Amino acid sequence: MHDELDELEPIDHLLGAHLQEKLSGQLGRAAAAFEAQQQRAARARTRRAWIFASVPAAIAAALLIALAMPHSTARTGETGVANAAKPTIDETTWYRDLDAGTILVQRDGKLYPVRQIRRQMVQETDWFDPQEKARIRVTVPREHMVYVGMQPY
Amino acid sequence: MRRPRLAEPLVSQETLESLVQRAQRGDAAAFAALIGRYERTALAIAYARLGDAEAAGDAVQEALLKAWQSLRTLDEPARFAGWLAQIVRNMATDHQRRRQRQRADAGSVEPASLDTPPAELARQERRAAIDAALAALDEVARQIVTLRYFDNLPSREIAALVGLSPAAVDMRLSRARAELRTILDPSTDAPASGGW
Repeated sequence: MHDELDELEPIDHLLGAHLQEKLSGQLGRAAAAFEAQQQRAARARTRRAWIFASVPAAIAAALLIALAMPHSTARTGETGVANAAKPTIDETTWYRDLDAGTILVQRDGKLYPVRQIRRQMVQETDWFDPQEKARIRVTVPREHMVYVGMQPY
Repeated sequence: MRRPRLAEPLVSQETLESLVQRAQRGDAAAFAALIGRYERTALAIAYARLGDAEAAGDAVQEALLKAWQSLRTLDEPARFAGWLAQIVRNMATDHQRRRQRQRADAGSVEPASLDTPPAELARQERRAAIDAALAALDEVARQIVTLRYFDNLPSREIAALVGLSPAAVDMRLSRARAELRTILDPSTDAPASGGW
C-alpha cells in the first residue's frame, strides 16, 4: 500500500513532480469554459426574453393602428372633413430585370429560343392619416419570369 | 507537489450527492463545485489516454461541458465520478482519433533547438524519459499511476474509477512502479520509446 506518506520513495516524488509539472497548467480551463458557456447562455436567455416581450408589444401596437384606420375613415366620411385631411395612400414600385439565360421552348413541334428575364419587384404601399397621425407602410417583394421571344437565325 | 488528500476526501459522499442533485436541477454553482472537485481526476484519466497535457486539457474541457448538458441522464448521483470518467475517456478517444489524422497530415516533430542550454536539455531528456516510461505501461496502469500521483487518490477511489478492486489497484500500482523504476534507473540502458 502507498497510502502512507512516510512510504514515499524517490520514484513517487519523481512521478508526482513530473505529472504536476505537466498537468497543473491545464487546471482551471474547464471551470473557465463552463463559466463562459453560462455567460453565453445567460445572454441568449436575455435576448429571448426581450424578443418574447417585444413581440406582444409590437402586435398590440399594430392592432391599435389597425383599429384606428377604419375608425378614422368613417369619421372622415361622416364629418365631411376637407380632402387635405383625408388619409393618403402612396404606392411605389421598384423593379429590376435580371438576365436568366436563354431556353428553348417547343411550339407546334418546333423549338424556338426564348430569353428568360427574372423581374424582381418591391411594392411599397404607404397609408397615412393626417388626422390621427397614423402611418402604415407595407412592403411586398415579388418576383416573376418574363419570356421574350428571340429571332432564330 | 500538492498535499495528498488520501486520508480525508475534500468532498464527502453525502455532499457530493447533494451537489450532483443540485446540478441536475440546473444549479450551475453546484456544477462548478463539481468541476473543482473532479478536474484533476478527469485530467489524470485524459492524460493517461492521450499522453499530451494540452490535448488532455481540451478533452476535459469538452467532457465537462458535455457532462453538464447530459447530467439529467445520470440516474444515480453517487456514481457521478465513474459516469464522468467514462465521458472523459470517450472524449479523449475522439481527440486521439483527431490527433492521429492531424499527425498524418503534419508529418515529423520539430527537433530541439541547438541553442538550448545543457541543463535545460538534460531536464527535457529526463521529462522525455519519464513520458516514454509511462507510455510503456498499459493504459489501465497508466490511469492508476496518473490518478495516484496527480490526483493523489486513494486506492478505493481509483478502483471505482477503473473498475478494479482496491487490492487489484494496489497490485497494478506496485507493478507499474517497479516497471517505471527499472526503465528510469540511470544504470540501465536508455528507455525504449513507447506507443502512447
